[in-house]
Amino acid sequence: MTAIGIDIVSLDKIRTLWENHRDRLMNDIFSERELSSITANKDGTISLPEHLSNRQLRYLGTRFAAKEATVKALGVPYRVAFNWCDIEVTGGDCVEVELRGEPDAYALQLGVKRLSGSTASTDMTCLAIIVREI
Amino acid sequence: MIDTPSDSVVYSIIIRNIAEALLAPPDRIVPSARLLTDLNAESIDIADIRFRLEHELNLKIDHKGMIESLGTNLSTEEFENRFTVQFICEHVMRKLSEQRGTA
Repeated sequence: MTAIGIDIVSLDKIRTLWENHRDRLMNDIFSERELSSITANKDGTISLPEHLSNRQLRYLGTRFAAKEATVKALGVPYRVAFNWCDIEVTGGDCVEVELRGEPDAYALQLGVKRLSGSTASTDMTCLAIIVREI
Repeated sequence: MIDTPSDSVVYSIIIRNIAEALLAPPDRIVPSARLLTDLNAESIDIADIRFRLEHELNLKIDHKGMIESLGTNLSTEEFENRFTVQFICEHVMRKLSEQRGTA
């Protein structure tokens, strides 16, 4: 049995969020691992550049869309309170989702074996589709 | 409820930030307005509103705590009906009160 979640995010909104609140995005919306391709320096330190390229913004936008699509694929957007970092997205255009905390406990109850999907983006929007496999 | 001068200032800040985040006229940001259905807010807008209020009011509003305070095991309709501008105001006031209490 499968279920699907889908979401679209505006690239402008991702840009606004990053430029105004990038210090809050890490460990609230995105995990360090999710941001590492943008924030990790070669010497092991982390920096938060003021402006991102469109490619980097599209990467972030598809991560956010995949998180929201995961919530929808689980079928209970508001029954389970969660932190965005409890839903971690790995990969590029093909993504896998790892859960922690309440979303993970809820997925175990459902017997979810795998959450995966794909993403796409333009210079205006970022899209993700996540499939829940049971 | 919103009944002291300082609460009124906080209320104005909340209304302004919601309006700016949603690019909506402030007169649409009334207490009974439901963020998701009446104001067409998306998840990313809710995060933007949280971060704006955190910055301006110097407090922490975590997503999970905010959702939990609406109630548990809500249907989508129940959630949408409870997630109003009034709820945001009350939640922020409560967080500020907790912060003052521990200061």
